[in-house]
Amino acid sequence: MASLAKKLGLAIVISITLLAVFLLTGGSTEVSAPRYGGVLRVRAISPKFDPVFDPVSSSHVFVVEQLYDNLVRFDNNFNIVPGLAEYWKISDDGLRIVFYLRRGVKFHNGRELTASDVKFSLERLMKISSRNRIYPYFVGKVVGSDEFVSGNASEVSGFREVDEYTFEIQWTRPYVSSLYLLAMSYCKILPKDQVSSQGGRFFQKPVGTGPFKFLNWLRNSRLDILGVRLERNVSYYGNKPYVDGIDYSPFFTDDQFEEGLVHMIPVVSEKMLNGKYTILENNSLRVVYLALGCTLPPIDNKAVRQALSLGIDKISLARACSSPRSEFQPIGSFIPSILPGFFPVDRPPAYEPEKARTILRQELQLLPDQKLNLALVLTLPRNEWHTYLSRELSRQLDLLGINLETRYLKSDNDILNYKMPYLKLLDYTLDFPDPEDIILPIFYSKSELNRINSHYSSARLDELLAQAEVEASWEKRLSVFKNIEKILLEEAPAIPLFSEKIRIAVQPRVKGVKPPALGFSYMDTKKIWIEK
Amino acid sequence: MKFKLKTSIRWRLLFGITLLISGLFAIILLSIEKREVRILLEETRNRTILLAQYMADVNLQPLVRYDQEAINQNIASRVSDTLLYIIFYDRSGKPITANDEVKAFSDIFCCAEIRETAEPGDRILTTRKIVWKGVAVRLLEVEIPVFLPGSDRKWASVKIGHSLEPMYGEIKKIRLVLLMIGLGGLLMGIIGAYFLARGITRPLKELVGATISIAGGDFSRPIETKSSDEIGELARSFDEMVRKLVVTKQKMETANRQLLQAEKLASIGRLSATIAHEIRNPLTSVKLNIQKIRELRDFSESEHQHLDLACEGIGQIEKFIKELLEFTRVSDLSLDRFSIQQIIEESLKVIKNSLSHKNITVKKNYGSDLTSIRADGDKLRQVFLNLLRNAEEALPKGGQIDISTDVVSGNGQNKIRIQIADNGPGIPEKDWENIFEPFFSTKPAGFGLGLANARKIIEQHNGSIKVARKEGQGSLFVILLPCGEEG
Repeated sequence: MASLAKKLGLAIVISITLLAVFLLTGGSTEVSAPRYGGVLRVRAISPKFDPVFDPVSSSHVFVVEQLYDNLVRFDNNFNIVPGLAEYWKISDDGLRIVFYLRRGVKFHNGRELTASDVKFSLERLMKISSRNRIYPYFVGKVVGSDEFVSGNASEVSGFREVDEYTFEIQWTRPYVSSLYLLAMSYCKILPKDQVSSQGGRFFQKPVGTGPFKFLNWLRNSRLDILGVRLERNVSYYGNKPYVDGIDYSPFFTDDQFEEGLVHMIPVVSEKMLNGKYTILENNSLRVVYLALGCTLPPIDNKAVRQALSLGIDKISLARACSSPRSEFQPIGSFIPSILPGFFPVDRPPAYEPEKARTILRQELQLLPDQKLNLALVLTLPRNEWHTYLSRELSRQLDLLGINLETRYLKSDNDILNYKMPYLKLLDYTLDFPDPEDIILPIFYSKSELNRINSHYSSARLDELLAQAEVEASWEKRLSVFKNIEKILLEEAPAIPLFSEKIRIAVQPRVKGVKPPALGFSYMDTKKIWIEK
Repeated sequence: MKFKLKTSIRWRLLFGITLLISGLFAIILLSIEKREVRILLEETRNRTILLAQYMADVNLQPLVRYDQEAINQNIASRVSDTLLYIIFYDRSGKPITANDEVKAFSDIFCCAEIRETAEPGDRILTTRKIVWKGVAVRLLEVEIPVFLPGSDRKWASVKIGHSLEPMYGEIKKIRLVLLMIGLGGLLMGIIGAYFLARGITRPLKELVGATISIAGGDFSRPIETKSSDEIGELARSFDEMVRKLVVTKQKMETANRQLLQAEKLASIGRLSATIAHEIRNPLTSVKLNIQKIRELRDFSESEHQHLDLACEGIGQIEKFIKELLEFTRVSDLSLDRFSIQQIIEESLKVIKNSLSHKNITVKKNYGSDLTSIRADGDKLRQVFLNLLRNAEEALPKGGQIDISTDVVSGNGQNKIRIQIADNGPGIPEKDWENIFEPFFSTKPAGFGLGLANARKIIEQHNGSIKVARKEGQGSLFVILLPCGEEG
């Protein structure tokens, strides 16, 4: 009896010990704890590398996001959360917003951020108009901005330094989506003294408040700049990154990725999708429409435009145009569902070819062997997926009795000379996630894009847009844009085709990668770590 | 002596059990009530906190955007008869917006209770009593801070006022239900206690009644009980005791009777012996003198008849004295083994002539399994002779005497039963015991000592003699004599 009790006791002790060891060391690799260390290597989405990380004009938003910060930022659900401003207040009339900056935030050179840096950075947005598509979002909307851009004022009076850590913006009218604007990558805060004194040279060795700071350029043997190396900012005001640094270059190869030397690249082949990598998908702010020349017969007929919309199978078209890197998602609404607060899911694209044929026959009064000739107008440079689009669209419209010719333009303005009814491919990327950024540039009667592409004019739509511009209530503004959506669906000045999902492949030992709301360029690298 | 209980056990039991049940029920129900109330309070508290958290979450982005309209819409969609007010405050504690009704309560509306340096998880709970839309309402107020992701400083706070009246209504219902359960339980308890007390005290009462009856001399009242508990055991033991008491009493009465009889007989015997001795001597002298006188003179025929009558009379007196002395004499039995049949036959021989003279038939039915017994043959013969003579004297011409013998068992002992019956006029039942008394006689001539002597002889043999009921007319004497062996 005594020896049995001893054996039992020993068995229990061993079991408890094993269990403790198991729990302490972890029984599964899936719940490993973050570790510091390692350099994250990322291949750029853009094939070119422009070593100028100017938030206003850079094509390398990913790097800009690591180097600099905004007053406010997006979380993964498109919600606005504090950035450099830890708190803000908006006046009841919606005309003033006061930002209270975090204290003790340092630029990479050690100087503390102040309200004057904010004023400088935002004023800068309105300075360079020619390369800057952003300043329309500020000019005319900030008090004193008109005077500033016209040279009649040395500063924007609506950008006010209340004190060292308090910054105020005065809008000319309530700007409900201003916080979304201020969260975009071009609204980064730069060090006033450095940029002022160095000018363009500043961006050769940029300084920001971001979680990573510039270390050096990646060069080849010929000292050509191939990429950039960033290092962890140990003085960062928020959670410090786990990785020691980031190497960023568009020139990292597929082989290097397969060897495990590169951690993240856009998916380039089907093979990658079936491999051992973690594949992440995320929406981009890109939407594709077919703008219809609304003044050219027979497309000036609303019924014909509606028939064209009904007769195109967007699902097949999206499938034909998709690639391993970029998957097109067919959309049925002009305002895509990714924009915060709008439609929870995309309206399924309507496809009724029989009905389309009937309407066309009725409206066009074509003879049995007669076909309608339309042009598909694309802007150079050519793109592989343009070819797929053209081919598939041609096939589909042929079934409707339409003959489609594909034409390429050197510039958008060339379309103004077109006399043939056309469908113009409008490949549009939003500057910030707000429906105004789609409707205003593309469908407002006086907008440049509309003037070039659709020549569409709707007094009612313009009226609603004007109402949305000054609407102080977010909810009411949402319903205004939903009414605009109804008008566009009815009038069909364009055919919404796709939104885009970008795919990236990630090495399995890279953890903490979460697809951000705005696209991979806005990835929160602070939460990424690399397993040994 | 009558026993009278001053305080009824039944009522004491009833009272005691009722008190106990009431106490138990009260404790249990109070505990349940307390627990239920605590759970309800906890539930209400948690629900209110959850509601506050929900309002904070739903209005997070509207708070960030300072979209009062959206917040007001959310407030309007949630405010109800139970969720009375929702107030949002900015970081400094100034109200951003709230439902209109609460703005009249400046002490509630004016300021946030939660401090600017609050941390996630902080909350302030307050209970209030206010008059809301003209009705007094008790409410629980919860205020929690609102934090934005990535920020460790409070962004805003939300305060909600949740009516506790539904909860108190529930509590009231619960209390009512518990009260009903308690009253119902108490009632059932009283009824149960009553029946329990009755079940315990009824047999006791019967016991008491039986005790009183026994004390009054009535042993005929049994205690009826079907219970198998201690009370039933007591009742059964009591019944057993009464039965034994009855048997003992009967034995004592028999013994008393026998003692009295013996004393009576002894005193009669002493008296008789004294009288007999006192009479005998002078009587002998008288008889001798009469004989002398007859020898001395010649008397006339009628004088001789008178003298003969006188001698006859003296002879009868001598006979009586002899019988009396014989009855009073305690003589030892001369025991030997005899066959009963033989003794009976011998007795019959003696009166054979008398029987045949009257044409009386004797029917005999002797048992086959009779053994011989140890007895005084002469004395037994005397007994049988006495009985047969009495039968012969009682029977008219042509009568019948039945004699039977058999063995009977009783109390583990075998006894020989002798039955002598006649079909004469019979003996009145009232005299059945008396005829065995000395000097009792139903015959015109007789001293009344024959049957008394017969009983004395039979009892000397440890037997019994009695008159028994007979089918038809006549008398039946039953004599039981021990066989002298175990049955």
